[in-house]
Amino acid sequence: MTKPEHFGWQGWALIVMLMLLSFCSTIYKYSEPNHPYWDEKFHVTSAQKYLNNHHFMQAHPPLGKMLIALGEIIVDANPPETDARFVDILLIGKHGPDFNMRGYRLIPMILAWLLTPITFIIFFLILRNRILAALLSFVIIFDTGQISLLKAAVLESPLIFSTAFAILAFLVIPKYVKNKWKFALWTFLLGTAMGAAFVTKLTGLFLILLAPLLLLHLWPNWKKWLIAFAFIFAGFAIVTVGIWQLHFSLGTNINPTLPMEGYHTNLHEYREILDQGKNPSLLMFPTILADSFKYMYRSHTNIGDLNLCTPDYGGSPWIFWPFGGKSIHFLSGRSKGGLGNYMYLQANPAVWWTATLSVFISIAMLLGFIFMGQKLRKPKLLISFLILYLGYMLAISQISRTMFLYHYFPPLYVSFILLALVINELKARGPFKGEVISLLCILLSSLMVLGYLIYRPMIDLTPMTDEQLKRRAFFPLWNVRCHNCKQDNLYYKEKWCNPS
Amino acid sequence: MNSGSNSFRNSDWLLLGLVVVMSCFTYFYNYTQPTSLYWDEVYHVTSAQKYLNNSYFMELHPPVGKLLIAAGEKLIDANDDELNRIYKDTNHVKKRAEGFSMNGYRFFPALLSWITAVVLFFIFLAITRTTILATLFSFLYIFDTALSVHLPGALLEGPMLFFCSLSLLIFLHILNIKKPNIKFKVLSFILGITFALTFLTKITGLFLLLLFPILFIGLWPKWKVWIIGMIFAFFGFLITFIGVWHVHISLGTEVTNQGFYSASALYKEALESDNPIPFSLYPIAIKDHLKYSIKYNDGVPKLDMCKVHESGSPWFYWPLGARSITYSKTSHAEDKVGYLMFQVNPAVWWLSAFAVLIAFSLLTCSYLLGLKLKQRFLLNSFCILYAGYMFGISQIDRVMYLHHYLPPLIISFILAALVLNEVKQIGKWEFDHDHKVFVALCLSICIFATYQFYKPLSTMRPLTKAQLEKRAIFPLWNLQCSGCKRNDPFFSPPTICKENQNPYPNKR
Repeated sequence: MTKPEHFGWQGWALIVMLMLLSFCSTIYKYSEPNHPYWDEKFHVTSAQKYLNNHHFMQAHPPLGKMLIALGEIIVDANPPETDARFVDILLIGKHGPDFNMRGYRLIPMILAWLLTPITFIIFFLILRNRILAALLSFVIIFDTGQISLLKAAVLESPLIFSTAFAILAFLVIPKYVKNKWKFALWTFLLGTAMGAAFVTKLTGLFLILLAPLLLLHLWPNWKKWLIAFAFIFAGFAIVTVGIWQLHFSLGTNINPTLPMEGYHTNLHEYREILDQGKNPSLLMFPTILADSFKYMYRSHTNIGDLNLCTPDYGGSPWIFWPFGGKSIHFLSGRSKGGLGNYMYLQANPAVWWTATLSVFISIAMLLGFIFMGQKLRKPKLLISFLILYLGYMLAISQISRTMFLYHYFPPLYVSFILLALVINELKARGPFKGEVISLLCILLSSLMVLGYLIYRPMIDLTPMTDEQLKRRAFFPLWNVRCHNCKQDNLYYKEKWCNPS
Repeated sequence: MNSGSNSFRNSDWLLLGLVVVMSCFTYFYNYTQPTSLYWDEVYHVTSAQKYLNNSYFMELHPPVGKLLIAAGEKLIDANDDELNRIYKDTNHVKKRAEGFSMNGYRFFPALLSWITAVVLFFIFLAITRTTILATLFSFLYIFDTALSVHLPGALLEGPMLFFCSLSLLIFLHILNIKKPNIKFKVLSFILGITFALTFLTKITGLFLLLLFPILFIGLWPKWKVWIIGMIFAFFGFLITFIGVWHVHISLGTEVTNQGFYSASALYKEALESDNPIPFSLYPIAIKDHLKYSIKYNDGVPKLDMCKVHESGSPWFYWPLGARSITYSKTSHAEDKVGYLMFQVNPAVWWLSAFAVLIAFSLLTCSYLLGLKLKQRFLLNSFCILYAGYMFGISQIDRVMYLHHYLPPLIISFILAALVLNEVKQIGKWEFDHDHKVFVALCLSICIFATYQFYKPLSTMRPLTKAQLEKRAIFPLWNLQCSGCKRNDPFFSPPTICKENQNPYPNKR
């Protein structure tokens, strides 16, 4: 916060309230279901390899999985033999009895919880209005889509937390141009957040756009930007090298049941070091890192291209994501009474569609600014976050492998920032200025709560009739259907084969 | 013609002449090629032959388009009576008969699509008030590969777009009058006629109904003037509606082996008698035709992107020109293939889509931030027409094709003109009339160049696989060479059914 006097005790009180709300909506009963679902089945096996010092390579960089392992060390929810149950495999088929997810989910859950105060502070920095910032924070607290995955032992929570923190630093830095220590600290923190995102998931790399975009805010003081860039680079490099080195250092034991006799590599020198049980030196770091990236690349290419004709398929094209399409089916079943229970990654339409609308309005405002000289309060921020949003989407559109709805979480978060910027512009001029904007925000946040109440049963296995599910799944692009029901969707005609 | 002046100078006539000549080359000259029937011509020629032979029939679409196709053949008389009877007992042409000519059947669609260029020129002129800009905007229509393939065919879109454009031109002129004088009444009457003709060519033309409430807002607070206009428009509509159905019903006197379709008992009885259908029976006959049309539509399959040879596409693909439709192809020596495709000119379609985005953006800024616009009412009107059509189409679940986007495409051309009219600056640089002409000129050159690049796909000029692939710059188009695997980025349908086969090894 740059001006604590404006934030005040009311700001802190609101943070406490919002965190309480977030606790109720996201954190409470975070250990349910008490077995791994979706990508937890991969990441728990990775975490167990860290816990047992097994060498391994995987499709994703190490940080997220390290945090999952750290949670289990802190909570110690399983005995050592259970924490070694999955070291020989890459994907959990059957989790076995007495397996507890509390520890593995701890850090992702905490980071998901901390996302609320960070988002509130970001909104406050943009809007300079505590109530509006608190109301807009509902986009995090009451979004069923994010809740269903962020508290799980997967990588999205650390990724989105790093994204949010990087955005916070990006907003704070221009305010400390004249304070060299704080300027250095926040630019360094921006670099570390960017690094953390990148060593959690490769898609986090989109945050590097923030470095050149900072020039827009520091211009014409380009020398200051060069200093900022140096600190950003330092933060980024320290985190990236540090985490990867930690990863290499932890994996000292070779498990021959794993791919390539447990080495995951053909690199002779690395195999030798691993055989000797020595930690690789920093001198070998570039070679081993390149080898790990090669492995990641291979893993991603093996996933296969997107094909919406595949039955019971979770993948979706990027153009469907802003509308919440298509929902990912995590779990479902049917009780004896015929009621179905479901766990979907199901977007809260009030949140996602508001965010998408705000992206359109941001583009409209920017086009008005460029072609009609429309006056804007914060055009540089609007341009920056639009570039961040569109940059991510453009990069993703170039990837042919199967992608899933949760790959939209980073730009979704950016679109929340755009929402705040749009509200900030509307506050200044036009028919929505003054009290009307407060009413609009109250209306929007009420809709988000309502959406949460309606869609919550679809993410927490609450029993419901087929009719109740059908009523909720009104949007065809979501492709939600009841358990074992026949597909009847306008856009998805999945089939095993075509009649000859 | 300069901004503010209404007189047409020699240079303006020259520019109009240029539009006429250029559009003649892209729409009328050589309209008889290809000699074979393509796309829905196989249906419409059979309908036209039923008219020519007084056969009774019912069909999915209203009569005007098919009547015009038949009228062309009657006028040109390109086939002898024998050939003009050959398809009257079928619903679609399976094989083209030896010596069968399409010259007559395509005459009116080709002629009307040529004249549409002139109508659009006058629409652009009404908006921009300068002939040079009107001429350059006409390039959007004249040099689009998809339009130039589809509209001159013996299909319904050529006449429909002509009547639709004429309605829009009249709408613009009515807005300028605002007095119930004779010109206002005549134009309202003609608007009723052109609206009816659009709607009676294809039912999707019904979206023009939105023009009437828009006119009410445009003429407000002179609501009495609007009512007078509506009365004249209604008469125009009614006369045309009854007239067209009268022609259709009175021509269909002979019941063929196709039977009575879904005619009610009364209509059947009248058909069986030797007397002409009495006027009192028209409401029943029209209702029966509409019922048949609805029943037919219900039988049309739904869009299935996982079908191997699906040509349809979802409505939200259309503004980007996806997906292309292959009408026909012929093999040539050296592994070359000649394609006749409904393939968009990306410069035209993407510019138009961008214009729609800017138009909606300007309105958003106007409503949310109080941005002042010169022609806010017109921007509103055409955005409503565009959004209204797209919304209506999005509610239809039968398979739809890229050519169903042609009416909103025409609207987006008009939005492009309105947007350029509004633009005041680009960044910090002021944007005056000369700059606008310069930008329009650059874009027109770009449109013409891309037209030349994509022209082989509309003229069946033989292309190698590499040449076709060079043109397939956008994956959603699904532009694929003959015999090549479908390259859709999202949908790869399995091709064959084999027992216990899983064609998806990487299923998750």
